[in-house]
Amino acid sequence: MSRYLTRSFRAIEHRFTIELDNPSVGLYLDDIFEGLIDAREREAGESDRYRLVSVIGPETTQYRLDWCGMHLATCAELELAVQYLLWHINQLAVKESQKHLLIHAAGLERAGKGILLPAPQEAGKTTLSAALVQRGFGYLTDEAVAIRVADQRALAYPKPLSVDRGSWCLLRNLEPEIPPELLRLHGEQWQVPPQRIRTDAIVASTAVHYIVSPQYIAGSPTKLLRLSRAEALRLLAENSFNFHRFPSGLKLLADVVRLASCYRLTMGSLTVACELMEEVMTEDRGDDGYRRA
Amino acid sequence: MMATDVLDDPQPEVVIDGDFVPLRSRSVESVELDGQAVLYIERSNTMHVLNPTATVVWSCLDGRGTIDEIASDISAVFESDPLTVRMDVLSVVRDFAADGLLIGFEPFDLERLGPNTPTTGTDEGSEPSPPRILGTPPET
Repeated sequence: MSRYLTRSFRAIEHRFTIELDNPSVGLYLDDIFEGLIDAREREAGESDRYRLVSVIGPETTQYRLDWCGMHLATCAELELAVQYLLWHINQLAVKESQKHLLIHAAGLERAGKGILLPAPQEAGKTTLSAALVQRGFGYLTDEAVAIRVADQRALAYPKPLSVDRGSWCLLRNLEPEIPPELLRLHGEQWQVPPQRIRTDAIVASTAVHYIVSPQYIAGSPTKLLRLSRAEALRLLAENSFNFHRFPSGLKLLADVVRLASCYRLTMGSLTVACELMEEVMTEDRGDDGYRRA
Repeated sequence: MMATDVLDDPQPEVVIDGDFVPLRSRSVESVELDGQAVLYIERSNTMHVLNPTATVVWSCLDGRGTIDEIASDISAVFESDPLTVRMDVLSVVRDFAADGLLIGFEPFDLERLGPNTPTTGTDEGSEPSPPRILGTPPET
């Protein structure tokens, strides 16, 4: 049985490697997690070890996933096991961080100015982020932003962008190029490494200058409306993974919001949404404070 | 003193009128952004965003003045009609009390006041929310 050990990765405070018996899948994971390579890689002994191996039975093959020696799942399909692995990594990324206030948000950057996009799942964060990175925005994350207490900067979690099937037609040029035998790993999501969109896409950290909460509503006019900083603070708290147990969380979020321009973005058109975001960065607003399209 | 004496001697009802001296609950954290206060109650994990009027009133609830005195001060500073301001201040303070934001009106005290305690709030208030998760694991 061949053995493949991936590089060491870091998802906020969750450090991990993955051991597999399938080198093709190992190479795939090394590729999609390239943005998470741990700078302290040689201290791999401190990393959690995932293990994904095939279990060959008399009639079928199953795929077993373990974490630190504990059984997580056994799946009939390899793609399900990989999806479970990706889900588990995400969970521990937000669970294991005790030092930072974590927001369920995408994070982008332009000309040194950071943008938080807090929103629940299926709101369009990833689709909007992918399109804006294509337009030259820097990428911190499409999932979870860590706010550092000392200086309120947003820290990157540059995981691969998880593009849902419903957005594939809008981002066709981001379709991953992977060997035919691994196409089934796509499932209902592409995993797009940010460097695949642009080699210099990843930004390590940024000061927050804008808070924009996106919401995709099919067929609706695309508009950007001003949000009070007080409401933006509530929005960040409601979209936080650990606000309710984070010391001085209210003050920290207030410090983040205090110098930010805050908006709600209702999206019916991705192109128009991107144009509005670019205009926000240049503060080209009308007197009524919002634009429609 | 017999047990029945206690049952026959109900706690006095607190009346919020012009003579009442309101004091912010110490368990309420607050910050102010652009004239709007954001209040956070950790025990219930709820958050309130106050409008500018309620924010001004909230800032005055330091336990030193009666509602009538607070209303008089606000009326003078903003050059507003004293009767209207008094009504607004009374309304807002009663809302704060109903939401458990004042000393003497926190949840363990609300039981003492009985079922007729007004329940209108300064805003809808955010419901306590469960810890956020990133989706659910794939079915295996």
